[in-house]
Amino acid sequence: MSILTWARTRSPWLIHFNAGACNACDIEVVAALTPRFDLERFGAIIRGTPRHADVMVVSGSVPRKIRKRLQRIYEQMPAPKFVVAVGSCAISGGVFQDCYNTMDGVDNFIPVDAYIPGCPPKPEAILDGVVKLLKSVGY
Amino acid sequence: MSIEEQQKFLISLEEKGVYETRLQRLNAGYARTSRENLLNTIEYLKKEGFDHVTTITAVDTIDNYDVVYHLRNQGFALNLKVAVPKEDPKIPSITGIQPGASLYEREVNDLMGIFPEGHPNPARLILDYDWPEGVYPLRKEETIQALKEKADKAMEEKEE
Repeated sequence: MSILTWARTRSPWLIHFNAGACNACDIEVVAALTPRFDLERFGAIIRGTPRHADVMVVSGSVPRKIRKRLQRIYEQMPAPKFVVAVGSCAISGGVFQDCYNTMDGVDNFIPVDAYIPGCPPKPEAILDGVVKLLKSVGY
Repeated sequence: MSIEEQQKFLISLEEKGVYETRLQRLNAGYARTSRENLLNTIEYLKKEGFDHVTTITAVDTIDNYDVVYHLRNQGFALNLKVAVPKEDPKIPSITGIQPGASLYEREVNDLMGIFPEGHPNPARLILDYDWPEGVYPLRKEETIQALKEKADKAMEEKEE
């Protein structure tokens, strides 16, 4: 393992983006960060700005109106960057699939590295998703 | 207000050009009025204590559009329906009388295409900035497939 990979995989800083989610996924993401589940033991911290983040955690079905902002925030992240889609809505649109005002999932316009299914996914599932993402990078 | 008083009030409305009044149960009144008489009715109802517009909705009944004003006087809710012909989807804005109706009228204009005449700022409210002009998603003649195609086309044109 190179020192670069070592450093990268041990401090995956997160930016959490709510793209039209009902807040259930957001609550579970926050729950995964609490001491009970402790996502922070992998070095993850929620950052307030995309410029400090390596991993974008997206929840929600992505309404058309929010599409450009999501794209812009993704472009503001420094490379290498990873995207985790949390919840059925972010994966495929969920119950909002085929609505005239949603984009049917995040991967229609930005690349997604990990999908975490569930409505909402349990904190354990989010933990598992993030760990699988880190393993794919070389943890 | 007791149920008798509410009944009496609704019947007294009939002198003001309101018709088909009925009290569905305690605190749930229903009435219809014409488009020409709307502003007078809203003004009169405001004087009588219906000073809160809960929301405004619109229904596509195939033959015409119905705009429903959900008004409230303490616990007493009154649904005032106004028919709007499909050939001329316009309605006088009640924002001058009830300022709280501003956003609801813009929403009805966005989704059903019923233009509030005399509104101080009838700009787009909830649809995407790239949404094509003159496409109203809640009208019955629109299908989801056609809507998506139109929206995608408009989106691509804007991005070019």
